[in-house]
Amino acid sequence: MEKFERVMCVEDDPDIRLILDFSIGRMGGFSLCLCSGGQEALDKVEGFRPQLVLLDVMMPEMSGPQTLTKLKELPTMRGVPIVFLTAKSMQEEMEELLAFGATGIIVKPFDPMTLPDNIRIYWEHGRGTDT
Amino acid sequence: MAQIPETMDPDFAAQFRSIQLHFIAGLPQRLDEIRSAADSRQRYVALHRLAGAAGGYGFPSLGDMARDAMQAMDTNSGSMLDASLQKLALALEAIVIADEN
Repeated sequence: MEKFERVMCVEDDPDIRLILDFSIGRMGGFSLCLCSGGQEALDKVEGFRPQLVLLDVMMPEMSGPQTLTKLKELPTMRGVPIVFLTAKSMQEEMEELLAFGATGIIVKPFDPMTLPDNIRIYWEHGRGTDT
Repeated sequence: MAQIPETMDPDFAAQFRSIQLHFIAGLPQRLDEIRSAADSRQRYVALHRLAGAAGGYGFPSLGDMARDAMQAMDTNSGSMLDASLQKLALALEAIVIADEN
C-alpha cells in the first residue's frame, strides 16, 4: 500500500513557509519541499515527485491557478492532489478556484496542529483522480 | 502574547514559540510595508499576507483586522480603511511591546 510521505508547498510569504515547515515537516513528519513560487515548483517537481501539492493562490509572477495549470500538464503530476491555500473565503471565489481543477481549498489562517491531518484527508480522497 | 495550544507536545511548543518570536520580530516591517505601500495594490498584497499568516502564529484577531482593512479597500471606503489601519497598527504595536516586556 502506498505510503503518504512527500508534500510540496508553494508559498511566497516566508513566515507562512516557516509555519508550513513546522506543521507539515516537523509535526506531521512529512518529507517537505518548500518553494517560494510557481517556477521553483515546476523546476523541482520532477525530482521531488510530491504526492500532494499545497499551492498559494495569490503569488507574484506566477499565480496559484497558473501554476496549477502548468503542473497538471506534467505526466508525473497525474493523479496528484493539488490543494489551494488562500486567505479569501468567499463562496464564489472558492468555486472559481475549484473550477481550475484543485482537489480542495484550505483557508488561511490554518491551524498548524490540524493541518497534517487535513492534508492526509485530501490525499486519501484525491489521489489517483484527475479533476 | 498569543497562546500556544495546551495539547501541543512540549518540544513542539518550544519550537512553535521560537518561530512565533521570529514572526513578532518581523511585525514592524510588515506594518511599514502596509503604511508606506507605493500603491493600493501593494498595500492590499501586504494586508493579504498578514491576514494569511497571523492566525497561524496564534494572532487571529490581527488577521481579522487585516481582513477588515482589505474589505474596506474592496468597497472603496476610505474612512473605514483609515480606521482599520489605525486599529491594526495599534494592535500590532501592542504585540511587539508585550513581547519586549
